[in-house]
Amino acid sequence: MLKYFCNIILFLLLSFSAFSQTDTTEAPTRPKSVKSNSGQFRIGIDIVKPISAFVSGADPSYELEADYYLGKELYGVAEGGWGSASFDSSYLKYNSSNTFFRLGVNKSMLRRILPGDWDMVFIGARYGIAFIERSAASYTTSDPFWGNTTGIIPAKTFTAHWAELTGGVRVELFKGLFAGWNVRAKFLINKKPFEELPPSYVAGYGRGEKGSVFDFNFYLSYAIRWKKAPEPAVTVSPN
Amino acid sequence: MISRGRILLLWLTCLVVAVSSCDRVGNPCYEPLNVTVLMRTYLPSDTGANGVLYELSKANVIAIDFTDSSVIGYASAKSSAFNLSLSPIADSCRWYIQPDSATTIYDTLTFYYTRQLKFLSNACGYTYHYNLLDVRSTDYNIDSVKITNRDINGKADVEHVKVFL
Repeated sequence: MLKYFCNIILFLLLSFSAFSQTDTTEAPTRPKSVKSNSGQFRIGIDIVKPISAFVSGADPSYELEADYYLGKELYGVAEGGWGSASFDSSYLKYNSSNTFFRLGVNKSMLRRILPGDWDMVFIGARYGIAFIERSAASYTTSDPFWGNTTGIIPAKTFTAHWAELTGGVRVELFKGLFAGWNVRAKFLINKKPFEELPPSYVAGYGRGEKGSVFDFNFYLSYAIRWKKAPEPAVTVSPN
Repeated sequence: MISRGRILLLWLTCLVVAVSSCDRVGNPCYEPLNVTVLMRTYLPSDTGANGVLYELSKANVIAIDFTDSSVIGYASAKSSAFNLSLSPIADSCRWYIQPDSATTIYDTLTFYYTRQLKFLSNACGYTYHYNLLDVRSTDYNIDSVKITNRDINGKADVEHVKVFL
């Protein structure tokens, strides 16, 4: 946990230190943030989870993201995905799989310099829910005097609820094509069902036996944009 | 306004650091996997019921009730405290206690209990905890036996049984 916390602090320090740097020469007056004249819907996929699962030999998980520009640098976000995990040791063995969904908002902290400027550094919040199936588990206990005992724990379904705080970056590399990362702090809301043999890994959340986790995603996204209808001109009655 | 190139450099750096910090590997097991009954030996005291702690000079303590053998828990031990494990496959088990290995006199302690399968963590797996119902003994060297704590759950240095010699 300390290792994750230190890394999150490092990200924030790097990000904010860069944004706080100013030129030594006299800078021109900053223009006000401009409004976008387009609507945007963006869909993306996390590439970190499948790659890290492939490298570590773990079961893969997949996360997709969609966001929609609500105006005033606010984005409505829906995320979802699926994954599986297996726990295999000499004393405990079981599998699990789950689907998950997250809903929330992102707020861009960057000032928009052009109507077509969609880069963002954002903070956000999410509510997450996962539907989990854990298989029957076989266990073995060992005692130096009495030997080994074995048994089976029945299969179980779980529903996990959690709250998230997130922050990150999205940069438009080419027209419509974005890349960027999220860091997340997740807090499990219903801990009680997870006290007895929790799933080892919950896709979308993290390790099932932890009440809070830190996580990281790297998204490749594509945006669909359309021109908004111009706002009608305001006419003043001569009377 | 910060340049796009610096943003790109920032998040490439963060990517490398972040990927290195995320993993699914769990913590190692730090909890006791086997729980034992802490039995201490006493001499009756003239005042009060607590007794006086009495260290045995050359004690043998042996687990029995195996199908074909017994297992020595303590051999010629100089101690007043003995950790005895309970059988997870039965609701009672017996231990021999020989206060002085130089003599051939020994007593039999029979423990009666209920078993509870307990999940510790994914790293540790399962173990058994017990609730002591009764302890009976023969009376060659043992005067009486008293249960001081019925929950056998691995808590450190909690005395469960007093044996008065």
